[in-house]
Amino acid sequence: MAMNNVLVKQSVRKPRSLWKIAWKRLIKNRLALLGLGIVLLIVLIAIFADWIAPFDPYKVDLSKHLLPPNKEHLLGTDEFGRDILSRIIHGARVSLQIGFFAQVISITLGTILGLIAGFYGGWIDDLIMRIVEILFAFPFLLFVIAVVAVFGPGIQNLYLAVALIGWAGVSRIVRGQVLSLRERDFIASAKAIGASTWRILFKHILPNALSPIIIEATLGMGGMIMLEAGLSFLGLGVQAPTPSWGSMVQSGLAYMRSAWWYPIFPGIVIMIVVFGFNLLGDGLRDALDPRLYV
Amino acid sequence: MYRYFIRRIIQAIPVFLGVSLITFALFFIAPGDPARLIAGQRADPEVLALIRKAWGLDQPWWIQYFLFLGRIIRLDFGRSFKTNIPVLESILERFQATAILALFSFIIAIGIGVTAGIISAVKQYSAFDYIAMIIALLGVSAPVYWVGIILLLIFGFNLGWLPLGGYISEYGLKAVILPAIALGTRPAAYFARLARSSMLEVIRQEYIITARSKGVPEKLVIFKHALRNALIPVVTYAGMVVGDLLTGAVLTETIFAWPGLGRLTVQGILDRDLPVIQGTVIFIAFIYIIANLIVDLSYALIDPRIRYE
Repeated sequence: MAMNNVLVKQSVRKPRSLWKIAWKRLIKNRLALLGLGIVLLIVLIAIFADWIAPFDPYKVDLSKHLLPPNKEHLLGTDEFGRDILSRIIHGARVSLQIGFFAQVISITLGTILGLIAGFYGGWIDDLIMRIVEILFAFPFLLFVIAVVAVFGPGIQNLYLAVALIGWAGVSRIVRGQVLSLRERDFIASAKAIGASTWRILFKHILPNALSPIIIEATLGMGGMIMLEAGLSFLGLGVQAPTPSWGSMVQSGLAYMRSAWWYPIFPGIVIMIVVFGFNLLGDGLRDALDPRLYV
Repeated sequence: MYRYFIRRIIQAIPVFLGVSLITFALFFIAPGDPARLIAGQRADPEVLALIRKAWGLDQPWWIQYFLFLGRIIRLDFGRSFKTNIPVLESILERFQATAILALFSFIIAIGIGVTAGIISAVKQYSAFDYIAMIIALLGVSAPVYWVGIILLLIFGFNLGWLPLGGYISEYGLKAVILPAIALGTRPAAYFARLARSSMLEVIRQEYIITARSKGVPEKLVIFKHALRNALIPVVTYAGMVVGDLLTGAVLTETIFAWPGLGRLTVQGILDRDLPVIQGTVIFIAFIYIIANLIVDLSYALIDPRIRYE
């Protein structure tokens, strides 16, 4: 009896879930870890902005107009004497929030439409894929600019533009996944025992299509942050006095000759954060690639 | 071959129509009365009625769409609300500047990006490979306008080598250097990453091993056997880069006071000049479609597998 137990224990290996394997691979990849570190750091900064920021990001003090970086103001001050570091810290909140919500909109819509197109096929698939093809004919930023031009500047119109066009890429990826999963035996069995279409879609297909969605969501986050920054840089996104990295670069542009730090630092932050999301996305792609499973 | 070409061109027509429909819809549902935008906010009701009739604004939406489509096909984008200049005239005038900028950026991107990518692949895991790929990853992540500001600060203000903005008509070709580098950074980084991974894949193919084992010199293996096939994905990507350059131009032109389409668009938005915005958006989208079409066709020329599909 005791012998048997030992045997059983040895022969049953601990179940290795996809996510555990992926996590192990991810933390072995140094660049991906760096990306994860940057992302976690900026998320923490955004959450605890009120405590971390050394100054009130809105406090105007004209006596401190355009001070170069110094011991008190590590990254200098802007034309209203506001602390640039504090504005960057609070800008993290604005940029991440907008990037996150924009990404949630595009991933959700893209996943649903991709599931529908791939699963139903036929004319629904044709219709959705034709629309995707047309949306791909618009450069993304240009389309967002057009929407903002028509409906007016501001973040809700950025969300609107993303809802109208941002889902296209995701839906194509999800559709591809669904097409390859649809014909598998486990889907046939699910159908055979009478599972409803929605159950099959969300309980059986979606979990198996999750890794490319996660990769796309991570890589796309950098793109959305860049989009918000670009729009705010053009004066069409986040409006003054709310601090946003893009609008800080824009207002700094006018003073770049006398105050190089003003446009440069917010730009560095944009680059580092987007870099972080890209590294993490690349790392996730390598970690979640099922072709690498042994 | 011709069949493939013709089929591909015909396939582009619905995309053109779709793009025009979406652009039309966007401006059709725009808040505000277009007749008032044309005539001014304080126009008489009679004048407004006349304008509605003249522009077909009193018709149902689908008739308005066909009127719009008819105008687009005849390349009639209307007149600017602000300057009353025909929009097409401004677009063509500005397009030249954007095309020059995009062309130089493209050359820089291909030249630097592909070269770096190939060297990286051939010397995989070398110091060059690591440094080049980290720079490429940073390059993909850096906002165009920020790169532009850095270039301006270093080469414009501090060293005084290059103009601080302005067009060829003032400064000659010197004027294009900084904006082209700024705009070319992102595509160069993309190309480097793409060329590297594509080259790495090709190098591991059996025919390369065959070439090496039968004693073909390494240089010949790389440049003659591997490079040609490794460049195919790079060509495919070129179409997407055109889109990147066109949108990047909107931001770059703002920094460098470059008189191109991007600035025309942004100016149109600031003036709420709807015909200008509509015209530039649809024009840029069409250029993008045509660029992708050309890429697809040249892809078929390079890779025979495509046209026999």
